[in-house]
Amino acid sequence: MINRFKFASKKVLLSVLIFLIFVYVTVLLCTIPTDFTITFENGKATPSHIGVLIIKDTNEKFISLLKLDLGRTGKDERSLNYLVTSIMKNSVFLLAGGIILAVLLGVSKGIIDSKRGSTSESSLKVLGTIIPISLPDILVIALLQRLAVFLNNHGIEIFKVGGGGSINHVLLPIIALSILPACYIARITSMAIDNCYQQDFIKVAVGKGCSSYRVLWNHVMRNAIPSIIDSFPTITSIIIGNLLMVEKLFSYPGLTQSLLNFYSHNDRDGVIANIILIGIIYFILDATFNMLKWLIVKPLKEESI
Amino acid sequence: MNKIIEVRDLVKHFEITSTKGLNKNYVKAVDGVSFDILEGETLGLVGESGCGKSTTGRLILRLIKPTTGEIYLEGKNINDISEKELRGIRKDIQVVFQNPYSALDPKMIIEDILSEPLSIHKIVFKYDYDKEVKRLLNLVGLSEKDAKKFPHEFSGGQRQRIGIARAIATKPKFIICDEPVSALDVSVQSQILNLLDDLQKELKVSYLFIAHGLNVIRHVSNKVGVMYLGKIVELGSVEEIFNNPVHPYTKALLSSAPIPDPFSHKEKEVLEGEIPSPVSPPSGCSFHPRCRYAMRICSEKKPFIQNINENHKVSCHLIDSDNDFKGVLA
Repeated sequence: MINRFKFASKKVLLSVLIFLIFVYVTVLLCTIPTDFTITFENGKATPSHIGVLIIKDTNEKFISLLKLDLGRTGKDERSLNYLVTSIMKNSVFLLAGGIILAVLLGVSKGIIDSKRGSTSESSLKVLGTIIPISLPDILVIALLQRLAVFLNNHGIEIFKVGGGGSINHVLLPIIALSILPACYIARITSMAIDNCYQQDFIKVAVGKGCSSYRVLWNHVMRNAIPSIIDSFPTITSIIIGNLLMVEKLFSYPGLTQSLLNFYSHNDRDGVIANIILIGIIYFILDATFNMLKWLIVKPLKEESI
Repeated sequence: MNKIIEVRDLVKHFEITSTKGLNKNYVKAVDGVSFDILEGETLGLVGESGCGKSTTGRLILRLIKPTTGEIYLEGKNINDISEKELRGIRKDIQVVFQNPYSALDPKMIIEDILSEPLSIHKIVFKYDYDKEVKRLLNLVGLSEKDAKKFPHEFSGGQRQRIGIARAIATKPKFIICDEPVSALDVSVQSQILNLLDDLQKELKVSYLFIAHGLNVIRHVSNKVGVMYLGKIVELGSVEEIFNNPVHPYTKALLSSAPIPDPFSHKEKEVLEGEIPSPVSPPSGCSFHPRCRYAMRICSEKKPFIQNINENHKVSCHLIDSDNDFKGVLA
């Protein structure tokens, strides 16, 4: 128990340290002025701005961030902490919805795609998963928007094509965000299931008299879940990467949309605050998946040792 | 004694497609196997790798469906029954696999592994699961405390004991032992074989014992079937097969077994060539390309299995030839 606690503490400390380095590097990169240049004269490098001042600025900003002060907007001097309560909430809602939908769709599709002990493989099912993976996000989003317009024209107003504020606005972005990760999870799931069905313990389970349903849920999925959870960190990267495109094209008031606004207004504090908040979301998701892995996958890895 | 298992002309051909996807071929893994196993009896199946021993076992278990042929469990044909009916019948037929490391679900504790068949087949009342699991563990020489452990916490021999406990949990009439000691140390092998023997005496269970090792087969079997390229070429009592082998393949197989005597100079009958492909087996007797006694008829006509005596059957043209086959094969 003490060892487990030590292990967990080490992991948490390491994650905190990495996060602080990430914050510092972000602040440093954003503090370097956009017109920063280095001129070389007579073999001597001369920076356009004094490096010590940049570091000093970075340190001051970093300390204020440690005091949980995100700063103020350049335009109206409003406290940026409002990002946490309003904008970040929108993005978290979108990401959480996207991940949950991706897992539900992906695992279900993976089960359908898998051979489940049979020798014949349906290429059509596999293609149904691989093709969406190869589609560009922008095309998926455009198709979904066309679908929403078509439905709206026919009086079915479930989906709103753009904007935010109601549940109808968030449905399409969630679907758009979940398609690619869902296909990825489906491939991982189907491969993990097929791999499990080749094991002797599955033949033993069938020999015991387990029904195909019981074999799938009690034996196969129990052993396939660690592989699926192992793929979640990749899913996090994919889904956060797609967030920018989805929020922009659906005009959804989220963090990446706000980041673009601050960037276009050359608002350093706003950009830093947005990047850090996106980073926090990434770290929280990563920590959650690591915790799941620690609880479910680790005992299995110990077995194989 | 009652017949527990009757296998009649069992055939399993696996379809294979060429890489170009144009030609379909068939791997004749099992090609007309027939035998009976009586109550409390052990039939040993021996043969080279790829001869169809394990496939025969899996066909009887109905883990794979036979191409043709019949399998009777206590007189009931289990070949054409529905999945649901089959699940009920699985209570009476169990299996012990070769690899104890992969035969136990790594994510289940032993208690769950052993109580699952109890719950599926309602062997005991739910509140008696714990008691029954402890009884099964004791029966195979493991401690009651082991019930809460995962398979990875056990050695290979212990895992195989758990596999056996799982197999006997449903009180089966017939157990297929698919090379149950091949993956174990020699010292552990004898423990497992003795355990299987003790359980047979206690539970009157019948075994189909699949193995490579002739010594193991001799130790555990009442009857022995020698398989070659999907067919049983010789079948008889253990004494007949080991003391009076008739088929040239059986003789070569027995001759190839090492003798634990450094001064023994017994001439060995070494088999030449490789086992032919089961996709295109040789015409006539499938053993004729490797047989030193092969005659013209051997490449032309398939031999039928014939009785030599009450306890001995062989599938070889030599017993039909004008030659005194005993003289030829001696």
